[in-house]
Amino acid sequence: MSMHTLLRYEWGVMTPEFIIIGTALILSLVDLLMPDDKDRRPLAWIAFVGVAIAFVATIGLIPAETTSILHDTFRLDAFGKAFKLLLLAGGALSLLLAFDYRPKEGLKHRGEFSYLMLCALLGAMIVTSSGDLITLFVGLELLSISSYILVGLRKTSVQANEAALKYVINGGISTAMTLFGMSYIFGLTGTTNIKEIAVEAQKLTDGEYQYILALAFLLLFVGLAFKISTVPFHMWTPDVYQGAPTPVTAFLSVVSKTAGFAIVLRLLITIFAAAPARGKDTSSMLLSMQDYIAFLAGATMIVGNIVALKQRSMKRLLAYSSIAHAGYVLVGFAAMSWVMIDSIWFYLLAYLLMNFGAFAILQRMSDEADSDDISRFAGLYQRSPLLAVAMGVFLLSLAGIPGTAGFIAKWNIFLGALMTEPGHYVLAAVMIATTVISYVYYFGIFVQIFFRPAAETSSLRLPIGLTLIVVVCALGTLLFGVVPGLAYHFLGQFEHFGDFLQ
Amino acid sequence: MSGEYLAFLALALVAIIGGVLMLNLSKVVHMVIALVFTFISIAGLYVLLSAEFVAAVQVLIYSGAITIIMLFGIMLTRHREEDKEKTTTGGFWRKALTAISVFAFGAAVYLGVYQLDFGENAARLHEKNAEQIGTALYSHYIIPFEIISVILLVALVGAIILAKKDDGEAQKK
Amino acid sequence: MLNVYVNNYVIVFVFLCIGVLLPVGALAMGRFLRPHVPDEAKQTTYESGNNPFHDSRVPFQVHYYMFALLFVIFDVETVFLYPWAVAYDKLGLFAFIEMFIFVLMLVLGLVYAWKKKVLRWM
Repeated sequence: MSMHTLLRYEWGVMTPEFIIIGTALILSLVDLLMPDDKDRRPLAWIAFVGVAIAFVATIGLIPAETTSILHDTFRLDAFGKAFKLLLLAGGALSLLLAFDYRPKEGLKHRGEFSYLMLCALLGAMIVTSSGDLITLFVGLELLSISSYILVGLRKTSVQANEAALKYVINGGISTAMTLFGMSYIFGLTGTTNIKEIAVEAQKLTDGEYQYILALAFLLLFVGLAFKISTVPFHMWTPDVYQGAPTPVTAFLSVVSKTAGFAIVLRLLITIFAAAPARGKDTSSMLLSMQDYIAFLAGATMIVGNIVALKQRSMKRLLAYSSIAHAGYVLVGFAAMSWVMIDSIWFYLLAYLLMNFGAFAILQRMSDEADSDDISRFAGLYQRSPLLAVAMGVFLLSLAGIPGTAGFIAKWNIFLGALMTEPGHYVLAAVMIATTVISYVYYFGIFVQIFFRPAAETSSLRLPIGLTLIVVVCALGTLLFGVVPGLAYHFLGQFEHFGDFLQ
Repeated sequence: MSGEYLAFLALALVAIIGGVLMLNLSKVVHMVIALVFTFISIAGLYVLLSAEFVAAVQVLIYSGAITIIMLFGIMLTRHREEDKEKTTTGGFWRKALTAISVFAFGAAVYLGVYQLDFGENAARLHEKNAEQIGTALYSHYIIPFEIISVILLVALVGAIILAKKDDGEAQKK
Repeated sequence: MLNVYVNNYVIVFVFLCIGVLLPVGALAMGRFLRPHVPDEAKQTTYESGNNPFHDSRVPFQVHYYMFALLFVIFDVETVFLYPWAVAYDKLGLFAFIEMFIFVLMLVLGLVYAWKKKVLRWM
């Protein structure tokens, strides 16, 4: 291939990625050239600015047509744009959290912290906008490897070491499964481009091939379940969330999960939606696998919410709550209504806002005493009424109470499950039942905040980064809870994301 | 029964036996050697599949570099105490359940593949194998290739952060 | 063509067998031919004439592990260099730029290792 052909591609659509990688490289150079005794916290600001510029660049790309570079190894379509916005927002918020992260034992590698997070973000962005198995896998690996390192950064903490080890081993197993599934798909179709795979998969009318394809589907789904932390790959979540530094926990629970859902949606829908199968719907393997996905979604909601009841550590509680939320999102996927991707996107947006807000306050409370026990929140209302109210908003939204973004998101997923013909009544019922169970532990925190006496009476002051997060997230949660039309109006220009099939 | 089939059987058998021995041997160095057998027979399987370059990479990276890393790991840690006591986790039912699920998965895959016919084999893969990979990698898969360089950079930085003793720790010694 | 390829590996296999059998055969021959009269002094570990004391397997410094890790990463890099070099004729200038970026990233990694004093021996 000549220079000329390569330059003809519209490399401009990769601007956000180039900005992120450029910022990461500049940061690493600055970090190396800085004297050793200088404070490296401002580096997080540079990273934040880089992500913000990339965010603006992505918004600027929204009117751009669907573009493909080098046979879809990079592909900018509405789906990619929408999810990339979520990822960049999540990345920016985690960098703000990292700026104000002050653990008791100190953080040695602050500079590395920022640019490893940028690299993880780059991996996540690649995952959302590619139409080729190889690029998808490489992006996923970049995200995973950077996260393994981020989790293990607190080298002196036993908990962090345990978390990192568990994360690596579980991640390795899940990667192996994903790759095994991908290898079968490649073997059956002879190409790595997922659109061509879809075309080839439609021709597989022989029962034996369909069996292998179904096996590949399950392997892929189970392997990717690790990234979105749903049953059967959810067991790592509480340990890793507890051991990892709080900004990394927030990053894993939002950015990594969003990227996971992006790859699940793109791969499974594109490849399997039109592949013939032997199951209940012979025209689509995805539809005939619906029951399995629904079962896993139900199991995820039940496991996440029930185990969360017993937790005393806030990070573990939020970990189980994040498993439960992944279950709700999976309901949206299992229902396969025509608003599926819209409602999943909105859910992930609401989840981003409420989760980052909760983690910001949690980080402030736990850094103070190096403990994240739920009793740290006792008497928060007396110490800082505003903070208590903000935390209350996030908790209400996580529980899904009307007036918050969490409610609208859940409501849309719920409607999606009933909208299809036939409706998924059992799944919807499980969703309602588990939501009611979740009230118990969310309101447990409420009781601590508002009705328990404070152990310390000193008033709380939030550092600037955390204040910014709490304000943005609280306003966002309320805004999208009251006028969800704003987000849906924004989504309207993507026209239900049909273009990743074309 | 062709020669290729025989070769496949022998190599697959060695690979599986190596893996099983790796799990069951009690001395770490023996485990590594068992693993090397697995790695090398997998390289042999790649050769059977006309993927010479991948076979060479397998020998270079796995039998070479990964094994060295493991040997370093053994050299750096103590093993004599652990050798004596053998601890296992989980009760009978847990083990039984694991075994059943592993065998069920194996059976499910075997059922799918044992009579599967993927049609004609590609006959030209072995010709200038490395060059074919080179042309595909550097003209088609440019973007993943450049991302791999970021992955390697991240891995390098991560390895240094996690494995290096901090200055403070080193001085205490 | 495929036959030629397969037959080449038959030769490799034959050489492999010879390579394994030769030392095994030679040592077995030696075992039959030499006299076998063990005594305690003969069975101690030979350490250049000194009397052996305590265990030979002492844990090494963790520091050396870094070298092994760096070795693996740069080993992976060479794997990418090889097909690039072989196919370079067909690829042209852009492949050069690609590889330049790739190597630049790894040089950055090397500088990082250097700055963090990982490359210092002892």
